[in-house]
Amino acid sequence: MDGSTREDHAQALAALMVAYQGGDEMAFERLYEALSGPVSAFLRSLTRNVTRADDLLQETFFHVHRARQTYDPNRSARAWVYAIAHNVFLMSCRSEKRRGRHEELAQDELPDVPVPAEAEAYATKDAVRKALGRLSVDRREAVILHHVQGLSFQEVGAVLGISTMAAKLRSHRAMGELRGFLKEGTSP
Amino acid sequence: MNGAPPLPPELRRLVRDELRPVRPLAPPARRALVLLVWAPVAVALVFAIAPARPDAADLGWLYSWGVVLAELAAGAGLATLALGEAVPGRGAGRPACLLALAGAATLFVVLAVLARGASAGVPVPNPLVSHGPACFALTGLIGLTALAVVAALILKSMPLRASFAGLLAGAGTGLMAEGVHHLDCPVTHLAHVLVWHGGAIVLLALLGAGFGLALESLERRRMVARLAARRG
Repeated sequence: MDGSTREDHAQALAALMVAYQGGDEMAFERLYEALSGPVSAFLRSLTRNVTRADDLLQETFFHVHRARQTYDPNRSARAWVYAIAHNVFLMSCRSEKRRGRHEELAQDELPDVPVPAEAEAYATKDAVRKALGRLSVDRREAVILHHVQGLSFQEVGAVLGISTMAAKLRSHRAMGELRGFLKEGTSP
Repeated sequence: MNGAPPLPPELRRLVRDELRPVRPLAPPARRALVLLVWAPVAVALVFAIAPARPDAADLGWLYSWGVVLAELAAGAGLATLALGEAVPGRGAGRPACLLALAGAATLFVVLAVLARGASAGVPVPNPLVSHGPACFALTGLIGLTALAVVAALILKSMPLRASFAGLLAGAGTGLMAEGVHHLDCPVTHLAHVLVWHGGAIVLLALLGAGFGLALESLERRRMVARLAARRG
């Protein structure tokens, strides 16, 4: 997506959010259509579990609905929705931790999650997918949000609750680590 | 096909049933302005129930009202950060907030030292005990009223991560309460101010965090119940 297309997309999402805040049900449905795919991919990357990711996607849009008044029309709608998804994911992690449950799948069973295009230059998509799974959740989130979902560092910072500079640094370090894992995997 | 499940019927139904126009929340700084109403009311109430401190002349304007204004401003700043933290994607970030908390703590200590330098205050036999519980209770009570206001504002954001916002709100309103109480308490001994007044601020911060944790726990339980209902 080039700069102007991205800007148009951001404006379209903001307009949908404003219409939704105004009580337009169709706007919610269109917002779901536009964002459920990318948010689902984001949640699959974090949870490594399709069923859990689908549950959290529903939870995310449930909270989008409940907290729709907190969206500021002058800000990125995408970052706002991803921030809710991030919070829902953290909430579910705490909940599972308290109940002593952890449903992350083994590497061989990982769902088909999108991977950074840059990393595919080093190895097959499957190898990148497995290497992504070795990153800490914090770093994986930064890589997925910027390199896969195309959020700006400012948006990544807003989603993760860190500064723009910290988001840039985290994403950069994560890509470095990912390259390291891929080199390990391809070296004889 | 984007790989995501279609809009679930129960979510569509919920949106249809509950959908009504909402007005976007004002920015955190503007919402925190309500504390501008709280502050003069709190000052008036403190003056109504207790006489002005006898060493006000020794302190002068700077170390009496100046300290009050500085602590009110810093406390309102923390409350603004709390309101931002409660909104998804709007927080200033943990490092910035922790820095602000450290700055507020430093301000409290520096102002206590400066006020002690300006006036020896009313001498008390044992600064660690005399007047302590009364000051602790009064600062705590004043702060609770402000915390209730900020907590109500936080609740309007439907926060999912409320504990840190609560901590900031409690610390901010505690500092504001200390500022208001500064107009009344004539003991400037550092042991008294740091232990009892500071203790009340810490207690309010813990109460705020506890409020946030309770909200998070409630939200988690609701989520587990919704997930269980969906899975039948």
